[in-house]
Amino acid sequence: MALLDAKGISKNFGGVVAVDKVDFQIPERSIVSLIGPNGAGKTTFFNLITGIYEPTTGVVIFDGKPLGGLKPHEVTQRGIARTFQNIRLFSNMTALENVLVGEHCRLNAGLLGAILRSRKVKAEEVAAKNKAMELLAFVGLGGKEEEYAKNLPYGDQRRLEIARALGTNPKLLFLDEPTAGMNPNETARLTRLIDQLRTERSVSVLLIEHDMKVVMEISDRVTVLSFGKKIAEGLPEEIKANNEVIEAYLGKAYAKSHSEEKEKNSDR
Amino acid sequence: MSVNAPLPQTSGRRTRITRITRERNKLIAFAVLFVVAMLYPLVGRPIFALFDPNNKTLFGDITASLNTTLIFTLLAVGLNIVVGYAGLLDLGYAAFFAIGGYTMGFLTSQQSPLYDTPFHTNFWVALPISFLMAALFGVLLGAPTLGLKGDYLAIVTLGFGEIVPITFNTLNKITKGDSGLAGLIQPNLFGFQFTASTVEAWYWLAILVVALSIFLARRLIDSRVGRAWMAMREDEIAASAMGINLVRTKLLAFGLGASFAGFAGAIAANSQGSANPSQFRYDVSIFVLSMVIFGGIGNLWGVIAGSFILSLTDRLLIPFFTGLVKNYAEGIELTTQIDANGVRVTEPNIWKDILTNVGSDSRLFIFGLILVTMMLLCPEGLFGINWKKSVKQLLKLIRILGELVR
Amino acid sequence: MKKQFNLWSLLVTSLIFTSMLLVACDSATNTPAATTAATTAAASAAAKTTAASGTTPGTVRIYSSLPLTGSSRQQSLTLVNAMQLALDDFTGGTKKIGSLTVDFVSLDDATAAKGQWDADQEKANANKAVNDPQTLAYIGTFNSGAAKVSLPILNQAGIAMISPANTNTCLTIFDAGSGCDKTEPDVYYPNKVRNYFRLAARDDLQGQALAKFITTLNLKKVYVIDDSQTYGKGLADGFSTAAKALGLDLIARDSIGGKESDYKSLAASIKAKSPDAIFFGGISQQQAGKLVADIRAAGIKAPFLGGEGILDDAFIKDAGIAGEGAYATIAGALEKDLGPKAQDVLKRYRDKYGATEAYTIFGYEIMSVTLTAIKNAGTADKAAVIKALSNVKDFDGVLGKWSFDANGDISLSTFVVNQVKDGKWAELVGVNVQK
Repeated sequence: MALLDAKGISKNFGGVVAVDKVDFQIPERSIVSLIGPNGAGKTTFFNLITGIYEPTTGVVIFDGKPLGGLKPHEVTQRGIARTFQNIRLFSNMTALENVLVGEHCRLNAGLLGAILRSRKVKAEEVAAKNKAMELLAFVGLGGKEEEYAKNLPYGDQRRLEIARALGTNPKLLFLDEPTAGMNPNETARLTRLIDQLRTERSVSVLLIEHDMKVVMEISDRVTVLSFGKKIAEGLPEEIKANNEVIEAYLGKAYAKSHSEEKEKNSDR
Repeated sequence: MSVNAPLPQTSGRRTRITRITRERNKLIAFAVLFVVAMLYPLVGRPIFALFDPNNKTLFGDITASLNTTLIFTLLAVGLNIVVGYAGLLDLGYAAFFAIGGYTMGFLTSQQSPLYDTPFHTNFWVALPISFLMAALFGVLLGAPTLGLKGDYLAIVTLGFGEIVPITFNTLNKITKGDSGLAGLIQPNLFGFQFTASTVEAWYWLAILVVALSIFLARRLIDSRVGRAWMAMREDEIAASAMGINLVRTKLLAFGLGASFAGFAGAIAANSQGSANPSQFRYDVSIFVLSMVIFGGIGNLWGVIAGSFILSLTDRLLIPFFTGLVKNYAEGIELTTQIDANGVRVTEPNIWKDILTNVGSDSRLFIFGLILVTMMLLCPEGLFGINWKKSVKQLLKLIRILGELVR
Repeated sequence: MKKQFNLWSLLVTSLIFTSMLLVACDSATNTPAATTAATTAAASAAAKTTAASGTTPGTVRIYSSLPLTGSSRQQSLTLVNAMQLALDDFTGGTKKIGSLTVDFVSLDDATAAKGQWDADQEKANANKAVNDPQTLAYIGTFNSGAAKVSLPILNQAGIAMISPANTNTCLTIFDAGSGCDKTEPDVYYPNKVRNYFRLAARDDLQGQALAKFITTLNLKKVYVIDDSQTYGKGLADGFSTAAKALGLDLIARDSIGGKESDYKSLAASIKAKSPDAIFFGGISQQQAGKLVADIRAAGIKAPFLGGEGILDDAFIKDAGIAGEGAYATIAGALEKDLGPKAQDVLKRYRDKYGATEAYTIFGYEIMSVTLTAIKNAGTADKAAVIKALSNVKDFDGVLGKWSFDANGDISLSTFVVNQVKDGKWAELVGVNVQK
C-alpha cells in the first residue's frame, strides 16, 4: 500500500484552477519527483498536502489515515516534513537550535517542565541535543552547530533546512527545489544526501526539482504537472521520452521537430 | 559521509563544553549579583548616611527609586518574553499591570466590594491570585488577536491597553473610579508589618520576585517552549511546518508575559496602599517598551539594564541634575547699582535666567532628549551598540545641527 | 547533574538568607537605639519625634509635594513661589523662627514619563519626609488622588500635612451625597489621630456655592457633566446634592473621558434636553475647553459653569471664543475685598515672579499658617505642630480671618465667581454658603 495516496485533488483560487483533479501516490521508501514548468501548481500541490491550503475537492490518505482538515503542525506530527523553495530558516537562531525546533513535536516538556526542569525533562533535552548533533553531522554541518543560520553559506542553509525537517522524525519528506542556486559540486553532494535519506533513514521523499539531471538520477517515479493537470507519470526513462512532457516544457514546435527527428533516427 | 561522521561529533562535544562553562560563569555572576543586591540595604544605609549627615533621607530616596525601578524591571522582563522572544508587538502591556493591581485591590482593600466576604484575603494569598488573573486575561485578550501580526497586532493591543484602565475607571460602584481602591491591607511576615514606609522590606521582596522572574525567563528561553517562541518570531509558516502549534504557543506567550505584569501590578498597588487607574495608563506600556527596545529586544540582561537606566534617569538623575542647576542659578548674585538719578538698577543676567529655566522647566525635555539620542546612537539596543558607528552617527548629527544653526 | 545541584543549592541558600535578613530587619526596627527610618507603628514614630525634639534645636524642614512636571505645572509653580515669598516675609529673610532654622524643600510628585502626578512618586516623596527626622510639615498635595496615597503614610509617621488644593470631600468627612465610601475618611488615618489640614474648600461647599449662584441667575434646568476624575466627580456629586436641595432640576448626568476627539454627540444630546445651564465638574486638562467649544458650535446658548479646575489660561486657550461668558468659582474673597495685606503680597509677587494666579494667595497663606504653627509649638516636635495647626483660630492672614475646624477644613465659606470676559478671567461676584 502506498505511503501517501492523493485522490482527485483540486484547488481553485477564485476562478483560477491551480490544481486540477490530480491523483498521486508515493510508495514506501521511494523517491518521487514532481516536475513541470513554472506555475504548473507544484508548490500549491505541496501546500495542499501539508495543510497550508485546504483542497477544494479530493482526499489525501497518509499512512492509512486521511489528512483532511489538519493544520500544518498536525500534518507534521503525523510524519510529513518539508523544506521551502525560498529558504525559511530561523535566521537568528543557531543551527543546533533550528534542528531542535524541528524536534519540537517529538518532545513532551511543557511550561512546567521547562521551569522545573525535572530529571525526565533534562534527559529529554540531552537526547534531543544529541539527535540534533547527529542530524547536523548527517547533512554535513558537523562543527557548525553554534553558527547562526543567517551566517551560514547558501548551500549549508539548504542542508540545514533538510536537517531541521529530519528533526521532526518524518516518514515522508517534501523537498521544494533543494538544489536551486547550487553549483554542480554542491548539487552532486545534495543528490547523494537525498539518496541516503532513503537508504539509511527509510524516509520517502517527494521532490520538486528543475534540475533534470538530479531528477533522473535518483527518482523512482516522476510525475509531471502542467497548468494544474497531471500530464504524465512513470519511470524517469519513460518521462524523458514522453512527447507531451517535452511539449509542456519546450513548446509545441520543438516537440514536433524533436519527434520528427526521433522518427528519422528510428527510420535509419 | 560516514567516514566523516565521528569528526564533527568530537568538535560538537568541544563546543558543548565551552557552552556549559559559559553558562556556569553566567550563573556565578547571577548569584553574586543577587547576593550583592540582597546585601545592599544593610550596607547602603550606613554608607549613604555618610554622604547625607543632615537629613539622612538619601538612602530612603534611592531605595524608593530602586523599588519603583524593580517593578519596571519585572514589567520589562515580562514584556521581553512577548515582544522579544515571541515577536508579538504588544503596546497594551499596562492592561495586565492594571489587572494585577486591581486583583490585589479587590482582594485586600478595605474599600473593596469583597471586604467582609470570605474572598477578602491577605497579601501573600492575593499575590499568586493576581499572577493567575493576569495570566488568564493575557490568554483571553490574546485570543482575539491570534490572526494579527505586526502593526495590526500593535494597534489592537494598544486598544486593550486603553480599554482596561478606562473600564476600571468607569466601574465606579466596585472600583471607586478615579480615586481608586484605598486602604489595601499590607502584608505581615513572621510578625513584621510592611507599610508604605518600610522601603527595605519592599526592596527585598521586589528583588526576590525579580530574581525569580529572571530565573524563569532564562529557564523558559532555553527550553522547548522558548525555542518555539523564537521560531514563531522568526517565521510563522516555517514554525508551523516544524510541528509548532501557533495558537497554543502565542497564547502561552501572552499569558506568561501577562503574568509577570500581574506580579508587578500586585506589588505596586499594595506597596502604595491603593490601586487607581492613573497608575496603569498607556504611558506605562510605552515606557516599558522603551526599556525593552533600549536594552535590545530579546536580550534579557540588556532589557534589565534598560529598565534600570531609564527608570533611574527619570526618577533620580534628571531631578538631581536639574536640582543642581537650579541651586547654582539661585547662587548667582545680581549686581545692583544706584545710578546717577538715585534709582536702583539691577543688571539683567541672561545666564541666571537660562539656568533657572533649565533647573525648573526642562525635566520633560531632557528625558525626551536622552531617549531620542539613545535610539539614534544605538538602535540595536544597549548591548548591540557599535561604538564606531555610533560615534559616526553622532558626528553626522552634530554636522546636521551645525548646518541648521548656520 | 552537578549543575543542577548548584542551582538548587543557590535557590535554597538565597531563600534562607532572605528570611534571615527579614527577621534581622524586623528586630532592627524595634530597637530604640536604631535610627532606621522604617517606622512600623505609631509608637516608634512618636518615640522618634520626641527623641529628635529633645536634642539639638537646629534645622527643621518643610517639604512641599506638587506636580511640577506636566499639565499642572503652572499652578504648582505659583504655589511654590508664593510659599518661598511667605517664608522670606515671615522670617525677615533669615529663615529663623526662634532658635529653629527653617529649610523649605520643594518636591515634584509628577514624573517625566507620565507628565502628571504619579502615585509611586508621591509615595516616595511622603517617605522622604517620613525618613527625615527633621521634617515638621508636608505641604501638599495638589491632586486629591495623590493625597489618598501620601496621607496614610504621613499619618502613621505623625507628620502634619497641609494641602492648598485638595477639595475631595471624603478626605476629611464622610458625606454620602459626595459618594464617599463607608471606610472614608478613617481609612486615611490609620493612626486614628488627625494630621491633615487644607485651605481649599470642600467640593460639597463649592457645589453649594455654584448651585446658589445658578439660582441667583434664575436658571432651573441643569445638565451635569463630570470628567471622570476624583476632583471632577466629587464636585459634580457635591453640586448635584446641593442643587437638589435648592430645588434645581437636574435633567441629566454625563461623563467625559478627557481624551475624546470631539464632543459633538454629547453636544447633540445636550441640545435635545435644552438645559438652562451646563455644569462641568473637572479640570481644563481633561478638555473642558474643547467641550465648551463643541457645545457652542451646536448652537447651545446655556451658560457653562465649573469649579476652580477650569479657572486657568488653559481653559480660555482651548475654548477660544466659545469660552466667553463661562463661569468658574474658587474659594476666597473678591480681590477688591482683600485686605491691604493681600494686596501688598500680590504686588510684591508680581514684582518678583511675574503674573499672579488664583493659587498665588493660597501658596502664601499655607506657608504663613504652617510657620505660625511651628512658632506657636515652639519646639521641633511633630505632634506639637499638628496640635498647633488644629488650634489655629481666627488666623488673620491674606485670605481674611479664618480657622481650621475639627476635621482640618478651613472655616471660610466664601467663594468668588469668575467669568471669562474678553479672553480673560475676571472676578464677578462673591457667594457665601452655610457650612
